[in-house]
Amino acid sequence: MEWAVGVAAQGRRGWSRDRDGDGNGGWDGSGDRSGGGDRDRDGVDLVGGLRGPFETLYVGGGTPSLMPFSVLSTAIGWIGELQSFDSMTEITIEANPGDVTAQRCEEWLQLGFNRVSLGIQALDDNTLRFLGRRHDTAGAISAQEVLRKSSFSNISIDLIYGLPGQSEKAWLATLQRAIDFEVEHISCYQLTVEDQTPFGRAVASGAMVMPDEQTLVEMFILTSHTLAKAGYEHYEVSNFAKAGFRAKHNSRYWDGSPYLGLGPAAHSYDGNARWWNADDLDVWLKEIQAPNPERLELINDDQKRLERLALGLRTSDGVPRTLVTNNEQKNRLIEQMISNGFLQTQQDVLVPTTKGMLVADAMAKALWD
Amino acid sequence: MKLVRNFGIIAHIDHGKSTLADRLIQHAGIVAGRQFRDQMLDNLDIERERGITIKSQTVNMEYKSQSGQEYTLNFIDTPGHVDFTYEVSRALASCEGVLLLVDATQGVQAQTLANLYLAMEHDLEIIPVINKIDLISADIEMAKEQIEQELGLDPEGAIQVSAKQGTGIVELLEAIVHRIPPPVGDSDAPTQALIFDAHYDPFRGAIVHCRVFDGSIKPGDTIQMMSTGRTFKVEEVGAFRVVREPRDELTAGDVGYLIAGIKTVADTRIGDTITKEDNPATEAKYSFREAKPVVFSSLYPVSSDDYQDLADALERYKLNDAALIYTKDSSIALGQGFRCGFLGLLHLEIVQERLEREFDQSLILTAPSVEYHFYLDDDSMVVVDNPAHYPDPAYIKRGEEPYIRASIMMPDRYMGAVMKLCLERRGVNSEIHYPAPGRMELRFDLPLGEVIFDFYDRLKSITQGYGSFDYEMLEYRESDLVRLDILVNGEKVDALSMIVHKDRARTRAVHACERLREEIPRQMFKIPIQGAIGGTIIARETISAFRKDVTAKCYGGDVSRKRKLLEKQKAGKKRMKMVGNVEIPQSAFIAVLKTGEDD
Repeated sequence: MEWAVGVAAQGRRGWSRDRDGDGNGGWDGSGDRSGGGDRDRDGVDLVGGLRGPFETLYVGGGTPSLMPFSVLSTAIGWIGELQSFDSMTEITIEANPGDVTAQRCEEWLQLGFNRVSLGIQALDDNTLRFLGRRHDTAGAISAQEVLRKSSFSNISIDLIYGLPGQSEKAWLATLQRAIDFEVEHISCYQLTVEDQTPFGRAVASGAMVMPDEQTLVEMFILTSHTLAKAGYEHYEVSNFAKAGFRAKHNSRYWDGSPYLGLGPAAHSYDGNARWWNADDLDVWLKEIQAPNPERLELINDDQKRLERLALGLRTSDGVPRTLVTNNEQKNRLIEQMISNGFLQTQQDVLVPTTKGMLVADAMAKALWD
Repeated sequence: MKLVRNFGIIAHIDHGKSTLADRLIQHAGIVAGRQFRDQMLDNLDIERERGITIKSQTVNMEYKSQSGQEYTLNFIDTPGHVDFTYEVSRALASCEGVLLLVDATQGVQAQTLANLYLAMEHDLEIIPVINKIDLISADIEMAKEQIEQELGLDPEGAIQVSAKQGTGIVELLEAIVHRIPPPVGDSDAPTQALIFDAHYDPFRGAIVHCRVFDGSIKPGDTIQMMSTGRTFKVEEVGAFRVVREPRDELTAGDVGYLIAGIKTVADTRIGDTITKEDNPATEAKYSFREAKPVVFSSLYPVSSDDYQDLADALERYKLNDAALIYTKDSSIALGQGFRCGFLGLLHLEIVQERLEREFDQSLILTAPSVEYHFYLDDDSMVVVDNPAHYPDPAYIKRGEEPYIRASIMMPDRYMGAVMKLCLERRGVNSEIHYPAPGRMELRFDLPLGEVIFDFYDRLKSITQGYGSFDYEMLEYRESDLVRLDILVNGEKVDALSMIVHKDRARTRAVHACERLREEIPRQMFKIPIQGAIGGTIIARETISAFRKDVTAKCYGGDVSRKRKLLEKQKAGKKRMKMVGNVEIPQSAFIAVLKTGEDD
């Protein structure tokens, strides 16, 4: 069994501390804790002496791009000891545009990274300010230029759209500039407003007005068509890739493959159980010594089926027809989904259309029980 | 026996019956002052809230008359509502006299008249009592005039009281002992006791309320129910003194209770006669008649998993309400449920409310129906109370539906609106009376089927609560009846079908479709909602589809979070009913039964 291994360079707490504006992440200035990787290796032992093999490695969870070489080296070095990075297909580091320098690129390459996920988010300064990002448009452009000039041949960028007041035209302009970067992979996320956040409260109070459903649907379809014309395959609700450049690590989350998550708030799954680390840095450190059995759940077959439906119907790979009970009601439902243009069938695989991806949750719920 | 007086009270809702009962109980001193509460005899929440009496109550009390004589009074408080006419008639049969309560501010009302006829049938001494004389708006002369003209009683014998202030209570008690005759009967003759009510006690079983006419009943006797022949061994007899008080025996002329290990009140049918097994009476005191339901509706649990719960709740509820009848029913849309027959719409509401409150059930009710008669080509007649059994229209020669004579009392300013409502509901033969200045009574012949569909709520709404409504049953009349089906996404929702008059079908169809459009949440597909008679669509609405139900991001490996969210959303739909591929919430079934302001 091949594993994907993810390293959360920071927990949510560390990330929010960073958002508070001190500019430092949890790892920065706490170098004495940099043995997290080592300790997590103990954690790995605790989950069954897992030693790989690992197919992909993803270092994310905030701002690993801020980590000094030595810290980063320690965090992933032990994996390299277990298994040559050359034998892994994808080794990604998440980077903030402001952290990308020629020197860091060299260091990352030296450590074995072969892919960078760059959190550009937007390409106009107003939006970046609205999102509370530290970089500006010029910084985003220069970051991708620096990356491109380095030897990285697999670059991904993140964009956010569906913002309050954002016009389709403005979004299209951003998208076009992103296409001009000629990166291998683009993630386009519609802004999700969670209730208990400043955005959520602003929307609830009416201070902020989100685009209506119709607009969001049109923007989604526009994004899909525009990127398709530029040669990007729409392979997941929010992800687009040039041929051969789908995110392999994330794809493993979506197809039910096992994955190992290290660091605060990271999740792991071995095909039967899922367990997760504490968000809180201190709790996390404590629990490396004494794992908390409450942070583990066994996934039964029915739940597995729901997860596979919910995730699979978000992707252009779809789900095997056999995941859905074979009875008259479900067959009629599938027929109705097909005739309404949400699904296509390809040799006993149910594949969502672009329109279908937009209702992936609804389809999963309806097809599940 | 000469010193016993058995009497009831006839009154319209709000005429002060419960307050007068409170005063009599207080005067007799059988309840300690601080244990006293208002509406002493109305035990059910629903009785107190609505100011109505559903179950009859009996109170046994002593009264020392002004001449110094000790009397035993048995006062039987009866339900006032037309739904319970049969129960009232049995209670009245247990009395020798009756107090006829008239509100000095409102005068004689329709229901009072109906119950007066019942009293006259039983040849009871009637004492008119004019209540609320303390109010400024009281018009005692008007009340007297109506007593004479509308009731045909001697107004000079009317006793004037204020139950609220306690005025005239002694005069009333004197009238009771002097004018109402003592019971007659033979304590040595074969036992005959009339069951006029029963209630269920979880520890003792059915508590039978009865009036002994002849013979006697004491603990150890084996009694026999004359309608069924079933026998029971008497454990206890006694009198109701607000609480039960055991006695050695009940003899001819007594009103009281008996406990005999009877497990359900269904074995103690109101109107049945009790005799003794070893020396039975040859015939029943009064011929027994089964309570006849007039309104029918099906009850379903909101969640199909709760069917057994509902079955148990109904069984327990029926221990205390013999008038409710039910059989199993099933619906494609709602699964397993029960078809129930009720004495009337109030009875239906009471059953629903008590099942929900006291038995913690979540219910879906189908549209209430009456019993329709259909005459077929082969000259046979079928009685249909369930739209599912509507005959093939090709073979129907004609249909008939029951009519009522409705009487609506209201301040005259609401006449226009009420008239319009009655005409919309196919009312005919209107008649207008002015019982008092500013007040009017509107009488109409109305199809009962129209009245049970949200009529009372509408009346209350358009008269701002001032309208009151009574009715008596009339005969069946010919009617052009059709079955209206409601289709959701092309599939008939059997639980929403109803039998209606052809002229009303479109209005009802449009109403149902609109309500469903408002209540059914948008789904992935556009959902047509249609009203149809046979293959003809007569109303249509469409629920547009939602186009987006997906989260932008899955949180890294936190697939559990995503799954739990979906599981939660799915669980929220457990209260929904699946019809084909459409989820219909419980609220939609309820909303269809309510009309809007503009209907």
